[in-house]
Amino acid sequence: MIFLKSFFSREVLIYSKKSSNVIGPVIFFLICIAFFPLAISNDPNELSRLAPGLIWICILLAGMLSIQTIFKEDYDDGSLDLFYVRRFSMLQVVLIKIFVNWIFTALPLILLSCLMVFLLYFPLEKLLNLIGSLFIGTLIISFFGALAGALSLGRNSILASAIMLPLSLPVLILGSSASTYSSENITFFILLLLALLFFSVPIISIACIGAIRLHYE
Amino acid sequence: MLTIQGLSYAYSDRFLFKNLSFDLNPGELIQLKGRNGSGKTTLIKVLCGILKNYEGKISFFTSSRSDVQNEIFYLGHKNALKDDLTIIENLKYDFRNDEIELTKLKDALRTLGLEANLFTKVSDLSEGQKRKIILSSFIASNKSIYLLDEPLINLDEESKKIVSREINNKIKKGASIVFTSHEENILAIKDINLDEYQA
Amino acid sequence: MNKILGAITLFYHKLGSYPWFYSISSKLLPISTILAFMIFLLGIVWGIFYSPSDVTQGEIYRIIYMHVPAASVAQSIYFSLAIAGFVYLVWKMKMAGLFIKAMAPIGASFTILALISGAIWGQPTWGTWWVWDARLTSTLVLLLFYLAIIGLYSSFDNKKSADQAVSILAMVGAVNLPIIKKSVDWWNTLHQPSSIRIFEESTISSEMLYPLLICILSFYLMVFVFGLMAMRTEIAKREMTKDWFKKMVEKND
Repeated sequence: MIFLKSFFSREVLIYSKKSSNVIGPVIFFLICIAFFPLAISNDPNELSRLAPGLIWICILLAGMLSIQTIFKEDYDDGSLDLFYVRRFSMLQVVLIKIFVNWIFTALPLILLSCLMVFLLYFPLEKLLNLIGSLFIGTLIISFFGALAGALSLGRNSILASAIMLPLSLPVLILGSSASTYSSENITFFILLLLALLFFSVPIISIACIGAIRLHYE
Repeated sequence: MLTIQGLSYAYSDRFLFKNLSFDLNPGELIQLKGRNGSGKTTLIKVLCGILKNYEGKISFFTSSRSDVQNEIFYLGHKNALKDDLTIIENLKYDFRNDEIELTKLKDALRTLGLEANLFTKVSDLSEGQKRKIILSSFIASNKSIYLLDEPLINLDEESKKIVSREINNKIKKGASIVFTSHEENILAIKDINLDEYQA
Repeated sequence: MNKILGAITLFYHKLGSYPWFYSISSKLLPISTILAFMIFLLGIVWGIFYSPSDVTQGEIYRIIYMHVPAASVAQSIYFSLAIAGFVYLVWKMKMAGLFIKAMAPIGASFTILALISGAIWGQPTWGTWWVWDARLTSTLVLLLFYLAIIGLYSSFDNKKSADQAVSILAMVGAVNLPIIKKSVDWWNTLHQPSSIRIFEESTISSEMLYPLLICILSFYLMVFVFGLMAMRTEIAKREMTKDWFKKMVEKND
């Protein structure tokens, strides 16, 4: 328990000291969003129709940038060695790291996506659907991204994206559908997303632990 | 304290060292030698339980006060310091030791001449100063087995002397130390040259 | 019962040994190559020349004899990779890791074949090379998984870590593939009401079905042959410096 608390506060401290971790994805997200109207059309009707998909794709890409490096720093500077020496529970390490990363990188993006009501004419009545699906969806994506990052530790980041993005496809489909279709269907999609979350958390966490371990052969 | 029998380690089907056996008793200091790539760092990592993929037998005998793993102090080749945190923050979340007595740490930092800039970010320090931070953790710690990988790297002559003195102090208190170094002026009770254990 | 179990464990241990596999595969290879080729010839000739033409599609439907076997093989290989990954992670069987490494490019090739033959088939029948239909999309994702496995493997210099990494990825991917397929299905029904039907199962007459089944069988045999060859190559690469391999090469010279 003491370990949990001190590891959690260590992670929070590291993220809060390194503001580029938080600002980077935010800038990337805003740039991506801003480029879509410029590249496609500035017609409000068309944009509001495309908005859910655009927001989801941008969130996925922005999240991808930050989550992949989640274990990289601890691996490069030798902190992971110490976790093994001290026999830390890697399950706790993985879960805490993913959760703190989510708080600092995904949460700001979710809040920012409220702005899309103005920028992309996202229909206001569906905003709650969007936010709800983003909350669950980004968590799932974080787990896939962490696995991709763990598998490709010390390798190039293109590879991590190639692993993470196909895995995230169901989340993209369910999430953008949840924020596109009328509110009767929303519970259906949200429940599916929740099911996916509860299904993937244990599997991906265990896979993550194994994936980190294999770099210590 | 520690007995090693027929230890071998292979990486990608190639043996780094083969059939290595030695004992480490309380109050003993062992220096690992060997050319680059002879497996010194790997051996240290095997001994402290990071690498598990070895052949042979490693047995620990401690006073059984606690888990063996808690009696090991590991100082790696890499510093495991976070660049964006200050010295004191890094030491607060230093997972080498269990509980940190701040006064002890400050004493250790003072011996190494680092106490003036406790609130400096690690990224502003030189490599030698970074090494000193984790060496202060070593000086302040109170464990029975120390596994040190290149503890003296990047240090100036004076600090090397201080650290060698601290190593001797730990030995006198009954701790066992295995370390790797190219330095010749530390008095180790025995040398193990890994060049002699190549496949 | 114990005898059977014993036989299974013996077979399992033999399967894990490179020299045994290498020698047994060199005996199996010629027979299975000939068999695969003959059956493929039988199926394709029957399918192209002796089966009736389709009522609605005419002659173009005959690409089914390439497309369906390729698609079926592509999926099966992926699940075999996942099983091998499981075997590797649980029982640390070296051969399973090697199997993944050897089979992934074969699976990717058949997936590409399925996609291309599908496109060629789709052009005259649907009037377009590509449709974002559930089946096509999930086949495309399957290809991405294969590529990810190949890419991940090649990023390691340590074979053991590489085997572990691709085992994990193959298993996670296999768990995910049904979910992906299902979600693409939902998405598909939401976006385009099913206007496109590739084939109603019942409309395949038995004269078309038999050559198709023979073609499918021949594709599986082909995969077997390619798999053996790829695994032998991989064994040779890994064991080049070992004594048994050198001796065997000298004997064959």
